[in-house]
Amino acid sequence: MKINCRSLSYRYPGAEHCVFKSLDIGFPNHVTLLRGYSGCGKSTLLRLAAGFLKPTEGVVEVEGLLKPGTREFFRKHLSFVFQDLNLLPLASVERNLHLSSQIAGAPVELARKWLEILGLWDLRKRPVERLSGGQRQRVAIARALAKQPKVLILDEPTSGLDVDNANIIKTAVKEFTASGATVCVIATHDQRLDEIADDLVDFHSFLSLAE
Amino acid sequence: MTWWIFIHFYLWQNSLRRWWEQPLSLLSKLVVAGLLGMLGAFVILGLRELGAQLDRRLNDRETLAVVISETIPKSAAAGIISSEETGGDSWRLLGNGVSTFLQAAASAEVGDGPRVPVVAVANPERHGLVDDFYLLTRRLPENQAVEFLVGKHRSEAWTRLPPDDVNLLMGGRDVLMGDVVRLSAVLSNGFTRSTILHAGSLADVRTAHDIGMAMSRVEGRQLVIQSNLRILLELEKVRSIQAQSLWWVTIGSSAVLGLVFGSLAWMEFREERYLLSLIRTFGVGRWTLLAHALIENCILATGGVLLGFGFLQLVISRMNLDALKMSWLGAAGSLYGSEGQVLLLGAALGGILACLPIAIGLRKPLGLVLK
Repeated sequence: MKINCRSLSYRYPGAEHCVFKSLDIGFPNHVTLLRGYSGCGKSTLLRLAAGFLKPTEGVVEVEGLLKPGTREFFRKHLSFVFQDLNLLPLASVERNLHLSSQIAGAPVELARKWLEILGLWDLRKRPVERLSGGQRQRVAIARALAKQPKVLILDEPTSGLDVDNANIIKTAVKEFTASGATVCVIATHDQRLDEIADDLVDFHSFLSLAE
Repeated sequence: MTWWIFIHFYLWQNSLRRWWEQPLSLLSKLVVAGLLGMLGAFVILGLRELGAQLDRRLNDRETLAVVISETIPKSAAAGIISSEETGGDSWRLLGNGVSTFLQAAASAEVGDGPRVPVVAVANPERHGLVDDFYLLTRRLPENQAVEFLVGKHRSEAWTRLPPDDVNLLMGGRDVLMGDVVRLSAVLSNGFTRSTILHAGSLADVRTAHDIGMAMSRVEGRQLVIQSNLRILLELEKVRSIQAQSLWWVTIGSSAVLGLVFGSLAWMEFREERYLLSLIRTFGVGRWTLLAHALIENCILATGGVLLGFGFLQLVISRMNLDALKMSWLGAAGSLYGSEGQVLLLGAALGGILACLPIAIGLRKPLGLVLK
């Protein structure tokens, strides 16, 4: 399985210039790390790959799966972890995970496994709004993994986290992707994640070469 | 389906929390809807009272009765008296009953009282009178013989209560009545022929007027037509205004609610756009989220209007309406009928209109909202 972006261009509404033009890039079913300075278009590329944005030109395809951007794709195949809060703040940790799993049709029991791995089992009944930043980020990762997605996209998953929290997340992602059944793309500046990467793409250089 | 229930549960939990944290937004929605509901109730009750007043005025008289009067000169009197047809039957097609009375130019002396009009009927038995003279009066007991004098003719008449048609024609005055043959000598000097038509509908009353005017114009006859046509038309107009006003109040309320709720809902949506977009990334459709906003707005709009009705009733129950000459407001309890339901529907429509900006907002690509 692979995500293929072909001749991809994107310009934000009202902007004069494209973030990138005629980009061809593929993400196979292992862990790809995207590097690059802030504003070079990493997050935009991740949103296009997920189907959250429609390309100005070009196409995004996920081999063997539905087209990105469809409700079915969101429900069953995609887990996306954003930089900002991306949890339901009024719901408990456990409820956040169960909801995502139930929508995806994944076994709810898996939630327990990831809660334990990410050190959240004791916090499972607590509303998300009463958790610290690091705990919330771990919940977001746990929810993404409990869904058993075929496409896992993480946007700066460890930014601003201390070593312990970052290590926990790194371990969890490594375990999840070990089977090689998932396309995992991570946009990050954090070099601590290098050791779980199968591919490392310097997106800025990649764009320069492409031009 | 469990997730679907949970999503709705979560959305309601979120709404309740928003109401709790921003009570002014909730209150302003309820107050606006309530005020519009009270205003609508005032308009409905006011118009209803206007219609009832006209109804009462009409009930004082024979509502759909038409009186067609024509003065017959001496030269034509003999011809009409001698014919079997006294002139009223031609109106029969327009109504349920027709009575014709011929009022002589002369009057009768009865005892020491004032002179009374002399009226002849072609078919006295239709009014419950057999072949004789009758004094139709309310002053004297029934079946009493009284002496009268018409011209040089002196005779006796039996007292009777006046039938409705005679009352309508003579306005409650005493009348000396007999059949046409008995009174032919008096009638031969000329008389006024009055036909009372009990029309079947307002349209028949109007037709009677049209026919009467046409007869006056074409045949040169001097017909005088009296009826409640003016009041009936007024009543019809009030009823039409009543119906139109209800619609205008409903449409106006919907528009105002749509605008007020829409702007508040848009502000709330802007605060919650991130959360809603996040829920959409789980694969929850726009329609599910829109349906929630729609139900929430409809509940607040109709709830506000019902609160307005309730508040109005509470205020009314504590007021002395008769002293304030506002007893018509006492009918506020009947607002839960069809008119109140139309107002509630209008409020719900306002709630639906308020969702338009949300529907537009939900079309924004997820990637432009989520960071």
